[in-house]
Order: sequence, then structure tokens, then C-alpha cells
Amino acid sequence: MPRSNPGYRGQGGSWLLTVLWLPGIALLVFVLLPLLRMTLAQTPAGLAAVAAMADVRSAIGLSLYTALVTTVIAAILGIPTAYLLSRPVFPGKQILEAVVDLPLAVPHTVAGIALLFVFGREGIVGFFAGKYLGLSFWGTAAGIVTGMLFVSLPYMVNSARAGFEAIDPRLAKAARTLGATPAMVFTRVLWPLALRNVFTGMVLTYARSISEFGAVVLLAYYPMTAPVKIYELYLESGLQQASAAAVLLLAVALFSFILLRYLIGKKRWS
Amino acid sequence: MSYLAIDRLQVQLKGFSLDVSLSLDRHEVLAVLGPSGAGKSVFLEALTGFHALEGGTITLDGQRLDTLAPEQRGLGFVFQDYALFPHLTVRENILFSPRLRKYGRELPRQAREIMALLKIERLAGRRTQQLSGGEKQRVALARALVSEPALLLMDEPMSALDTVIREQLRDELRELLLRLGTTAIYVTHDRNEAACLGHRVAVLFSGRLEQVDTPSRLFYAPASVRVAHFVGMTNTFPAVVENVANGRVYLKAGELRLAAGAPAAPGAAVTAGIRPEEVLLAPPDQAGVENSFTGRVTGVTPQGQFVRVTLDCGVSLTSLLSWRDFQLRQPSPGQTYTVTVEPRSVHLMPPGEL
Repeated sequence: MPRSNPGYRGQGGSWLLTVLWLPGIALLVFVLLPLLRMTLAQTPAGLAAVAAMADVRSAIGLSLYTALVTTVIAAILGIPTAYLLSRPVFPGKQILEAVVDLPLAVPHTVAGIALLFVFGREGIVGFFAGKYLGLSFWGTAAGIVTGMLFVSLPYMVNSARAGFEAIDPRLAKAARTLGATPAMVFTRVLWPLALRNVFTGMVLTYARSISEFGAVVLLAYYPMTAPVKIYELYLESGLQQASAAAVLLLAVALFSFILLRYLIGKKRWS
Repeated sequence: MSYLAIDRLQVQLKGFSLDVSLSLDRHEVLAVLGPSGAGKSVFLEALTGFHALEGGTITLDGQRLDTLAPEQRGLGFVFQDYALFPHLTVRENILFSPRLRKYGRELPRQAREIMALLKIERLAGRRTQQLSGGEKQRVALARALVSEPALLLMDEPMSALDTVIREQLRDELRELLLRLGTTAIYVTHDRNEAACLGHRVAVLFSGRLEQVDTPSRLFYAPASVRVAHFVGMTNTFPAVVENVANGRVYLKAGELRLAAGAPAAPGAAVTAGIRPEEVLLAPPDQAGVENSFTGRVTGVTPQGQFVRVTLDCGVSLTSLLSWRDFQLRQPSPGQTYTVTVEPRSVHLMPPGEL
């Protein structure tokens, strides 16, 4: 009965809260300070100069475009998988679970190299895709999407899965007794209830894709995505120009997140 | 042929098996009473089609149900924790089924009627998260009743509500089912709820029906010691029939001799059962009347509206006294009293322990 003794709870609570705030503030500073410091180090002229560079603009554009394509593919592959994993035990469930999480544990450069073995010119997918579809993964947007997809799929699946798992199984039963077929149960009950988590998964996938460097750089150094371009600027022109491009990417990425969040916010049911 | 015929409905689960036969008339409400784990919910879910059957048939209004998918059975189901759709408003919850079936104008009018009967019209636009427990259960009832199900199944629908709301809603539900003429099966572990709502009560223990009877028969003539205890007939003890004369059966139980109004053969071993409300503390001048004996008080426990007094009369008997009777007699442990039991209140069951 914690409520019966407000004196104890109040005192203990406020003391504990103070202690918890300290790491909270440290975290806030640790995340925000570098980003703010970098942003404040820019001059309007420097930013304008970088923004005028055609290769920087096309790199940012390519990043947004490939991240969006990745998000769509991740949703198509990830949402059914997520629903499957939210179901009660079935044969192979544990294996599927472990495999879905595997990209989180693989260093991204390692992922890139592994992907080359399959999607490179000599790889099983790369070879046949090139021969019959004229599709190459090495040094193309398709390669960039492949790298992004590999590292971001776990975010899509796990987020959507949490959404499906949070649904009381009795809701599906209730819908069945009210005359809904299993397909109707999915479209009218499960899907609307999981939608918010599905969207969160898509935002996370999109964010993870824009920020990906390691897997992408191995599959496609060219055409350059924004993180690769920033790395190149850093090596060739130094911190000043690289940081200006970085701030530009940061601004564009933040704007697109806010836009996505806004679109998702309208779909919320509670 | 009865309206609903359940013939050897069998479900096999890990460490549990269900085997139930039952029949219901149209407009009848049957309460299924049993302790937790007796298989009450499994029984309802088997009727709905959520459990694979090992065997048996369900026939409703001449149509086989057990071969149909749950959504084709036309049953209404009310869940213990309501199972309202959280992404829909109250109105949308109630219209869920009509909208699936794409009916025309007919059903929204029906929805309005059922909402009026359940007094939830003013909640129509609300989110279900903003409702109290009682309101949620009303909405769940409306949602189940709006399509006029051929059979309404209710799985402990009141057990999450607090006492006052529960009793109020129970009485309203009784009225509503009567008024709509709904055929229903109501599952509960509460014997008072079962007696209030059921035209008949079926007692379920470990997946088997032990007795199906009217509430009064169940409370005063339970078929076994297990049922007796479950419906509150707490005084049960083994006895032997000494002789039968003048429509009276004379029993001997240890040192205690008493008469019963029920038929039995001389020499038979039986279990006698007496409801605790029927064990009375009499004024001293009642000594010598039929079925009066001395009892020593061994315990006094307040029970809310009653006081429970345990007595040693040769066998141990429990008496439930109203507060008025308690204050009149003022029993306290160690005192002896004259205890009387009407012969017709002594019920005889086959011998057997719990």
C-alpha cells in the first residue's frame, strides 16, 4: 500500500528523482552539446558555399531517396515477419527471432563485405540480377539500398512486432464472435492497433538508413550518399567544409523526421 | 428437439478434459457455476469454436454449429474484461458487427434501442478508455446483443466490477435478458449470481457437469457433497438411517440423533446436509421439540450481514444468524444452547467425501 504513507513516498521519491536527474542531464549534454557546438561553429557564408556545391546537394538527395526506398522495402518484408513473430510459438520461431536480430550484432563494415559476396558481380544474386535484369549492386543506388536494408531491418521488425504483441488476444476473439473472418480481424482490429508501432518502425528504419556509412561505403563508394561525401570532404578539405556539409545533412534529416512524425501523429488513436 | 443441444462436447487440453452434455430451451438462461479451473471458460470457447473438439456435436435451432467457423455461428460473446476495441468509439464498437455485415438502415435503429435499454446513449462518442468498468460492460453487452445473437455467451462478465455496481448490473441484466427473450449461457463462480440470473444452474467440476437444476433445488437439494459445499450447504456429515416411520427418516450420526423429511431406506449409509441458515439457536423452552439438541458454542465469527456460530452437537454444526438473532441470543464460546433444525431442512445425499 504505497499510497497509505505519503510522507515516506514523497521524501524517498524526491530524493530518488534528484539522483536520477543527474545522469539524465549528463545524457542530454552528451548528445546535444557536440551537435550544437558543431552547428554554432558554422558561418552563414560557409554553409551557403557548401550548399551551393552540386555534389553535396546530390549526395544529400541520394541519401533521402535511398533511405525512403529502403523504408518501403523494409516495411514490405518486415511487417509480415513482425506479425508472424507476434503469434504464439510455431516451429522455427526462435531461429527466425535470432536471425532478425543478427544485423544488430554484425559490425557494419563486416555486413558490407558479406553482402558483396552475394550482391557483388560474382555473387549469386549480383551475377543473375546483372545477367537477366541488368541490375547491378556494386556502385549503384541498388547497392546503397541493399546495405541500408541489411542494417535497418531489425528496427522495422522489432518495432512492428511490439505493436502486434501488445494487442490483447481477446480482441481478435471478440471480433471473430462478432462475425469477422480472420482477414477482417487483421484489417479492422490488428492493423489499426499496430499502425502506430509500424510507423515508428518505419521512422527508425528511415533514420538508420540515412545515417548508415559502413555497409554502404563497401557496396557503393560511388554514387556518394551524404555520410560518404562528408567523410570524403573531411579527408580532402578538412574539418571546416566537412562540418558545414554535416550541419546541412543534419538539418535536412531533422526536417524529414519532423515531417514523418507529423504525418504519423495524425494517425494516432490514443 | 430442444433449441440448443450439446451432445458430449469433448475438449482435451494438457492435464484437463471437458465432457459436457446439455440442452437449453429457447429464451432460457442457463448459469454455469463452478470453481476456477473447472473448465467454464473452455466450455464457452468450445461452443464458440476457439477450441478443437475431440468429439461431440452442438446443434442450435436445428443447425449444426460445431462444423462452422466462429464468425459463422451467430453467437454473442461477452468477455470478463470486456475486450472492447480501443481504437474505436463506443458507437463504433457497437456497430462493429452490423458494419461487417453491411446491413442497411435496420440495424442502426436497433443499435439505438439497445443503447437506450442499457442507458449508454450519452457515451456514444466516447473513447472506451474513458469509461468506468460498469460502463464498459454495458457497451460490451450492447455490442454482443445488437445483432440479436441466437445464443448469448457470457464469461464471468461481472467479476471485475465492485460489489455495488455488480449487484445493480446483475439485476438489470436479468431484466434485459427476460425482456429481449435472449437464450443465454452465463458462466460464473458466484452462486448468488448464478441463482439470480439462471433459470437453471449447471454445476461444473473438473470438466464434468455434476448437477443441472433449478436454483432452489440446487441450494436445498444438492446432488453431492461437493456441490453442497459449493452452494454454501456447509453442514455435511455421514449418518446411518436407523428406521423409517410416519414419513420421517430417523438418522444417527455419532452421538447425534435427528429426523429428516427426505426418503431413505432403513440401514442405508447417507451423507446428511443442512444449510447453516436452517440451524437455529432456540430459546431454552424449545428443548424436547423434534430435532432439538444441545450444542456447545465453539466459535463466533462476524460475516458481514450474518454472524457465523460454530456448535458442537455431537457433530460439528455451523449456524448463520442474522444480527438481530445474534443480539437476542448473544452466544459466546463455551456456552451451551438448544439447537433446532426442521426435519425438512435435513437433506440426504449419497455417502461420500469431498
